[in-house]
Amino acid sequence: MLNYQFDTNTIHLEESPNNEEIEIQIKLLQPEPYAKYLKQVKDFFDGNDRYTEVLFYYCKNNEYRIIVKPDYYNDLILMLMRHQLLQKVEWKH
Amino acid sequence: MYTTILAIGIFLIIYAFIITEKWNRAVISLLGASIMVLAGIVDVHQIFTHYIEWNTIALLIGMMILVTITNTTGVFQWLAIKTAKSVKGNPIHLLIMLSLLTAVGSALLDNVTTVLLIVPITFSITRILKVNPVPYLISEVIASNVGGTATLIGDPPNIMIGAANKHLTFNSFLIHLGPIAAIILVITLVMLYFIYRKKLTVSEEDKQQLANLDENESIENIPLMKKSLVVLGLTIVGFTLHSILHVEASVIAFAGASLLLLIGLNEHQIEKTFATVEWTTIFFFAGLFTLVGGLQEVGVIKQIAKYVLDITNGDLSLAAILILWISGIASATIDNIPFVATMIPLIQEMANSLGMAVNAPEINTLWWSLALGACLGGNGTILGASANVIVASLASKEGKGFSYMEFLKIGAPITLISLVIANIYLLIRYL
Repeated sequence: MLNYQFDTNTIHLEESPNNEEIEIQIKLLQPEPYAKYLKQVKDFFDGNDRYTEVLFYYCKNNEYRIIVKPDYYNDLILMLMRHQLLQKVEWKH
Repeated sequence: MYTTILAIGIFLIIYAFIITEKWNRAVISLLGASIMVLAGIVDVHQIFTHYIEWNTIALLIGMMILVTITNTTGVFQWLAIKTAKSVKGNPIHLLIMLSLLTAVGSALLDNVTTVLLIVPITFSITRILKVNPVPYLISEVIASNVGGTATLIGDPPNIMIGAANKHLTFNSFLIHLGPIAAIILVITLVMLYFIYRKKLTVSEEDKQQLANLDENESIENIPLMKKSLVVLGLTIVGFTLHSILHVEASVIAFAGASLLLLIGLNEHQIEKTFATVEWTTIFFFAGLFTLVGGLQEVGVIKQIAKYVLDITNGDLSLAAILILWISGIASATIDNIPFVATMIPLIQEMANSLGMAVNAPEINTLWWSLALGACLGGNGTILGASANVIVASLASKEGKGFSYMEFLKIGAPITLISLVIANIYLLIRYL
């Protein structure tokens, strides 16, 4: 599993279990350029042939919900890191 | 005689392989087509000039391109979220609205494409409402087959029938099949309402989660969306006018697709769009037309047509009812596309044997019987139509699969009632 850190001045991120899945709620305190980066993460998962592994929901006021299956959790965290929505990712020991 | 037996043998073996669905159906049908050619039953020149129905193939490719480009703009997601919010997350109302949306989409775009668009959105909406997606998926499949019955482009059997009969225009389909499809759709939605209304519940908290969604964020490219909707609208208007313009529906679809590719996309995007065409379906059709061409070449279709006329004593009313029910039952048990591919030359032969033109009003009744039977019969089982197979496999891949029996329990009674209504309609209107 992974530990991660984010810039609390630009992003508020909250993670909670959702049945057998994991839900991540993101609020962009600074929408630009992070909204664009988040869209790139969404496009990445939209581009494969699975529909429900990572579900993205756009909410009002720059809020986003992501529901991710446990098998794809690491992939999602790494994509958030790759697109600079997270600042640091490390393996949990 | 030897050639005839060989052609029938190849056709039946390939048909059996297609029905089992264990192998890629496009590969199997192309293999069968190759064997027909290698065995000397049909020659390549005949295949390309006579047997492959290019109008069907061009219409499918044109619509696939148009819908793929429009989908990238997010407009379909916008529409689905807007629909879900309009019923305030009420699960049974949502089921009815998504089914209605699927039916209308199927009539205007084609049902295979429509279910490919609606299924991912259904997963997304049902997930946020924490409700089982299976009733929604089954209802959408059924609605797609009923909605697709209404127009020339709505369902592959209609595309094939329309392409093989130039006199059966987009408007002819709409006038002759639209009213009955609308009646059957209303009855189907009422049935689905009573089947599922007590099985679906959503908490107030989850309804609120849906209300919080911002559907406007789904729109990703407003200029392209505008262009796509204008071109799609023009294409549909073009379909309604194609007989006046003396242009095939396939040409209208291809013109629309070409225009949108030209004004909406760059070189890289155009290549990506071409790659998204469902070539499996296209090759499947090409192989299938060749296989049926082989049977035509050796005179089998002519013999069957004579047999049907013999058992009905040349009574076309009886033949129409027979075609409706045989098509309905056959399409429920096997994919309706290969069945219709076989039936089209058979009805043409029946017209020839009776010394009638294929566009005679009496023969048109047979075409409407075939369309109603094949499209509505597709709802009988999970294997009945391409849309069913596609949704079932997508659902299974996402761990939300439904069994043959689960679909049968809902689909079979609806199919039976639909065919009875279609039978009454044929009797009142044509016979």
